[in-house]
Amino acid sequence: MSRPELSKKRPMAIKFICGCGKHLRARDEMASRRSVCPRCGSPVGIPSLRPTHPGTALGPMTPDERRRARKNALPAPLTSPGPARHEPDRIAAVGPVPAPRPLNLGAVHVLSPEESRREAAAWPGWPLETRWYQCLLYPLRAWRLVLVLAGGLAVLTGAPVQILVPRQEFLVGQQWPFLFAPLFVYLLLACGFLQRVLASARAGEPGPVRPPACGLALLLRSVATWLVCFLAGPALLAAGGFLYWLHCGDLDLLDELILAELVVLAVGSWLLLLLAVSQRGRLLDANPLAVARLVGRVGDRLVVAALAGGVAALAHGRLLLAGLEELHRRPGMGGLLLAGCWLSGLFGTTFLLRLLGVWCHRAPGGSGEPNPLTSADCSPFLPEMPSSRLQ
Amino acid sequence: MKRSRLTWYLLAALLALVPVGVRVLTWKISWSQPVDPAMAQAGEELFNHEWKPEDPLAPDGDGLGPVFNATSCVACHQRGGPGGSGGLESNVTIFTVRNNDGTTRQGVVHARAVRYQETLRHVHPELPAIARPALALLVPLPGREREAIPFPPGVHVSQRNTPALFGAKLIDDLPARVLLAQEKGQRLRWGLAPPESEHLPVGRAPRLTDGRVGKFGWKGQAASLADFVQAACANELGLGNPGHAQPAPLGKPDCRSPGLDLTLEQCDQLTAFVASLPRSVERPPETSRAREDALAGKRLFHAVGCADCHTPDLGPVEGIYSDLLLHRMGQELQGGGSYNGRPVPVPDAEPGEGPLPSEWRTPPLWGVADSAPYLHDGRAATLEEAIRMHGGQGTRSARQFAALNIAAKAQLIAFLTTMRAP
Ligand code: HEC
Ligand code: HEC
Repeated sequence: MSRPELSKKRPMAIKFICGCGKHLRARDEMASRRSVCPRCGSPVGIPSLRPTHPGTALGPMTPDERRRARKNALPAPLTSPGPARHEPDRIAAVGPVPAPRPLNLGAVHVLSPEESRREAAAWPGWPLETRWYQCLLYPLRAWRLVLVLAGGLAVLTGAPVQILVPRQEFLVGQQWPFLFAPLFVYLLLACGFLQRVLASARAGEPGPVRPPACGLALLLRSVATWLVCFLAGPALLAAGGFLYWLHCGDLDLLDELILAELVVLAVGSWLLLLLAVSQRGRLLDANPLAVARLVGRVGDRLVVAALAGGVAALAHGRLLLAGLEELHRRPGMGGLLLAGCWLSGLFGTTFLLRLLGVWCHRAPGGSGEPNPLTSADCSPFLPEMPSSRLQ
Repeated sequence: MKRSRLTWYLLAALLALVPVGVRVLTWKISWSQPVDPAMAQAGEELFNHEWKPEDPLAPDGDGLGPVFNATSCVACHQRGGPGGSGGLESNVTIFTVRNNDGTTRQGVVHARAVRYQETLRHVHPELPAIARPALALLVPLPGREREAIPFPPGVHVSQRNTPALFGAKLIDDLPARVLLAQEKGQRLRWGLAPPESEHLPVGRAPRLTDGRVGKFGWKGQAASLADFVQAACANELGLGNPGHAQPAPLGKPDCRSPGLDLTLEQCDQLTAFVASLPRSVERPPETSRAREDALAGKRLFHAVGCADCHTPDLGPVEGIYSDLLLHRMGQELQGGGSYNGRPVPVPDAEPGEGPLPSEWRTPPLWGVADSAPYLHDGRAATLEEAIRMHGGQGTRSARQFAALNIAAKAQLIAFLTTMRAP
């Protein structure tokens, strides 16, 4: 079985099983520490190297510790039992492997051991990215999904203008918002995809993103996340920007500047809120305090990257409008512009979310960084351990 | 978070707020000035005054003329009271000629003169020597197509019907950004369709050469009421004023006035009077049955798409039923030339920035029941005819109106007839 290069340098000597059934391995220096399971997010105590009591966990947490751990854990999933399951004393239980828990919606996307094995086998040369430009490859690996989504978006943007607008009878009176209704529905699908990208990056999973096959509930959850994060602030900026654009008369340089700022801020804050929520999968984290905490943990580059994302979104928005306009004059050219715009936009967003997610994963306190002192460039847990090897 | 980092973030936020702050400080709010009653009263006298050559009210100039269309403002603006609309007999004739060298010549063929009468022959030697052509000579009216005279290539003559002036102050007080918001909204609504569209009801704000947005005139050619009044004094009555010189007769370009006929104050008095005119009103019919019909008609007005252009409210002005934007109204409704202001390119010329021959400002429908005849040259005698003649961007809603059954049509017309002059 092939494994990512990096892990070979540091032997993963400690093998144990999380309470959720995930087979985990940790590096030697992680012995007797606490960390978070990348699958279910519960705190786990990593056994010491030479366990005095084979098969038991670390001593139980103090009540205070327990509370903190619970707070930091990924959310109590909608469908799964409450925090009792996260109690650390179950974690290292050795014995028959517990049945996999129902899907944890908060984590959105983490591989099962089965999948992990296949994953690592299929992508031997793709360890978790360590450099930002490596993340550029990520959307390329998901090219089929990106292409399908971008194509759909371009069609749904262009088709109403091409087909419905000339037949005005469909759009008399107040029916016109329906013009782009299919587009919005499809955009929600895209949100689902992007949310998976973010979640898998946050969990530190190598390999490409898988198609959203996990069903409606997961999709709805992702959509809800994106909507809540949008409503938690960016919506206000966007609405303000729209109203200002509509009512400011002729745009001079100052107006352009104000509008650009509003757009960049709206998109940037949306990204940051999404990141904040993805830390623990709690929608309540869509607030400035959680963002500030996250930035404090991961660093200012998070803000810089999010704002850069805003600038890119601004450019793409302009391109989209130009494409729509062109569609009335030269449909071919307009269609090309729209397709290019959505493709590049989706590619860029995928890249950015991967990058931001991996940053959060690696930063101290993220599950990817067990110990601030060791410069780990790889998850302490490798999720590819076949259960047979444990016995 | 470390203190220095916090400082940086605060600094960045402050920097980002600078443009907003500057905008707040420079945001222009045009407060509506109340009309001075004394000025308005003096203006009323001027508006109703019968002007004569060498008029005592114009001591410095030559008074009425040398060429003019009527002897008083109220001679044309009279239906439904002073300031109202005018009939076909008070139409103004406008011409545009494209010379062989590509330049254009445009102006008004004045109906009357003190000495040097203008006729169509002054516009082009092949045209008859008629001073006051009937509308049927210029456009093929239904049933009278044979009367229309042929025009040589490059020559375009059209007429303008006298609109009512009620509520002009409300339009004058509208900031340009209200019109621009309307323009942006219409474009958004039709998937960012450009205003060059010949079919989609997407208008554009009329632009003057100096970049201001026009709000008055059939082509939206004047940005303010004061500007239009000054132009009207000169063009209609031959009263030169500081804002607009009096026109010289077409055959006598060197005919000069000894001085200005009107002072700026007199123009302001006239403007004050026009601004003091009350706005038109929506008067619901007496019987409840008729009221219900009118209400159903109002719903139909929205349903068939009239309200796309005849928007009920424009910014703070309620019940204006216009977006004050230019719309392309199709080949049939073409009319080059301009009453004043920016040249309108002739139909076979390259389109420029100015209004096209087929472009017209949506007329406000308030008071429409009392302002027959309709359309820019009054070619439609009835409301129903006016609707039927909508072409270009208005084609679709006109067609939908035509497809209504007789009762529904009557309801829509009943709604329009609730809009009366004050
Ligand atoms: C010969 C008839 C005639 C006379 C006399 C006349 N007007 Fe008019 N008026 C018109 C016509 C025709 C228009 C429309 C012109 C256009 O838009 O091209 C008009 C338009 C206007 C408008 C613009 C209305 C709008 O909403 O666009 C104003 C204001 C106006 N006239 C004021 C006056 C004043 C003041 C006088 C007296 C000095 C006057 N008019 C004399 C025919 C006349
Ligand atoms: C595309 C925009 C547009 C639409 C849609 C439209 N109109 Fe108009 N309407 C105009 C314009 C522009 C004029 C002036 C045309 C001209 O003078 O040549 C006008 C003129 C009129 C007039 C004559 C007003 C006057 O004072 O002369 C009436 C009445 C009218 N419209 C009613 C309607 C009704 C009823 C509908 C719906 C069936 C409708 N319009 C739909 C743009 C529109």
